[in-house]
Amino acid sequence: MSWYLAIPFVILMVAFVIRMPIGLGMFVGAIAYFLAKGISFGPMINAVCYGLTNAYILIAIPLFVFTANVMNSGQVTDKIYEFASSLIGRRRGATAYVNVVGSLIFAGMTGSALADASGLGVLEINQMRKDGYDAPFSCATTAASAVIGPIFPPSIPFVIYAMISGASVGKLFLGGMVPAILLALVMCIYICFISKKRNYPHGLTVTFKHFMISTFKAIPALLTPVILLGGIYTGIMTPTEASAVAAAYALAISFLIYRCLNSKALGKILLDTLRTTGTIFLVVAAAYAFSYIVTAEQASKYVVDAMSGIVHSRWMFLLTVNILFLILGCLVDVNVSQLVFLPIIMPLVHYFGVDLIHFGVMICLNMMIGLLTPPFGMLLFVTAGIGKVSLRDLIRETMPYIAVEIIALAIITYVPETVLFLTRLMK
Amino acid sequence: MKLLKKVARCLADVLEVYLPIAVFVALFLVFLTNIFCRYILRDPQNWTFEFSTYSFVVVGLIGACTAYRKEDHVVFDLVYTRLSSKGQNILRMISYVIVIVFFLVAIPESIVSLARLPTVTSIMKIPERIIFMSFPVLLVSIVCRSVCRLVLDAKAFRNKTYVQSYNTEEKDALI
Repeated sequence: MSWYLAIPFVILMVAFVIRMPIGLGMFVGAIAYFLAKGISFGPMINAVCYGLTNAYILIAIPLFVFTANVMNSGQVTDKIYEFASSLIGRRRGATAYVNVVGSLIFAGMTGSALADASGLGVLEINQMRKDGYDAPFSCATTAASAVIGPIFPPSIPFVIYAMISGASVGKLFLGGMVPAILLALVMCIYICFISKKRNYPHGLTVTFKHFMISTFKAIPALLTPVILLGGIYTGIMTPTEASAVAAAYALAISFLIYRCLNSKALGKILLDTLRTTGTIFLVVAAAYAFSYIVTAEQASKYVVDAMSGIVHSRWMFLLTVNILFLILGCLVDVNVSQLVFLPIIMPLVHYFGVDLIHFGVMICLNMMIGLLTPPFGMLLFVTAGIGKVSLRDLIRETMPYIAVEIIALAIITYVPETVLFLTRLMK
Repeated sequence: MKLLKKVARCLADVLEVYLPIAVFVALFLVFLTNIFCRYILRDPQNWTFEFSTYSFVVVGLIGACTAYRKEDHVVFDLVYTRLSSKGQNILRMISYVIVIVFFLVAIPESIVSLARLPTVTSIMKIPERIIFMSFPVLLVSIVCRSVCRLVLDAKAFRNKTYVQSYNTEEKDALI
């Protein structure tokens, strides 16, 4: 390992300070490294182009983004919300519970926390405020429940992790189910406590007829995760193929059943899909250039040597990684954490014999909590924008949610069966 | 000058919006065709797989141009937001200068090395250099846009307004 390795990382830090897009900062760092070493850019170009060509699984990402945008564009989110409302019924703090349950259901259709917060989140925040909940709490609940999105399958971070680690996407999806439910559960416990303390309102009484009507209306939307996950676990489709089928199904129900899409809206959906895909893939492409440098400099070997001297057990390693990534989550974007720092520690995961599926679910949840933690918490920015609340108030209300989610993370970290028992059942 | 701007805008629209959207739609349809042929007709088509993987490269790389156009890329703005508008103006200019300089260095070699790439795709026999040219296109697009934005920011600095005049709420514009 030579001092040249410091160049891309120093430039990345400079990019943070001068507000250069992170993906561009990574490319500039990589170019500077090749210039300093006086070698051709050829390997970097090959790493980027062939890296993308060989990452077949990543094709699922634009398709998941497209599905989420279709679902968010029309009445699909309304139907899911109504169904979640009828499920919760008349209990204190009902709308807050509906927020969590709605996000859990929506998580089965999209793989992105931001899609949940910016789509279903608008509906959730407005409804909570209408029902008399204070705005910062409404936004905090929406931001916290959006974390479930990428943990319950399908999941964009799981797809990227699978590409980095070589783990099975199908198993990762399966492994995420129980942790997602656990997350929803710990959030509901907190809501139960805070609703009593603040005397939040009761929900409306739901008659059996109303429940049946809202369920019937939501069935086409609810079938999306069934098709997606059923297709994958019956072995009929690969996860990438399932993402295409889910996108086609989302289009079909929006056009034919809910009749909430037209060609103009479709054009906007396509443009939004392209923008989100481009945002993710600039970092992915730059990460291939970064990975080439890290591999060429054998940085992982030194990290393994250094860490194995300090950390002696698997559990200590998991604790260290969790703390490290929670701190990283406060400072950098999820894609940067995942694509720059995760490949560096992957050899340690093998060294300590940690199950790849368990580690994947744990680290993705950790990074998703990072979306809630200030100063760089994308979910905070999104929900503060929707609810028009100050970041200071929102952060204050989000803190208890972060605490309960860290408790869930600790359970998932130290009880691997929460992740692995479903994957073992499927064997 | 007006005509030149119109042509530039038209070119940018085609390259950064219509082309990648068309490729994405094609990718999606071909992917569905692949599933239909494989599971319904029991006649898997290899070309569909190849088309999907290569068109994905185009969508990902050119999509990044679209995101840059709309300033969607992830940035860390904690320092930036704490500065005065003059400081922000200066930081933006520094950022653009760095991107322009480094990308300009990389563009010629990336074009030359890709132009010399002899390989073709295994089924459709499309030269890979055509597909991978998306990478220099990304670099060129980002440089062009950064130059335009740098000029606007330099003007704002000279006029002491220091305000970002592109991609404001009112103006979701070319640059």
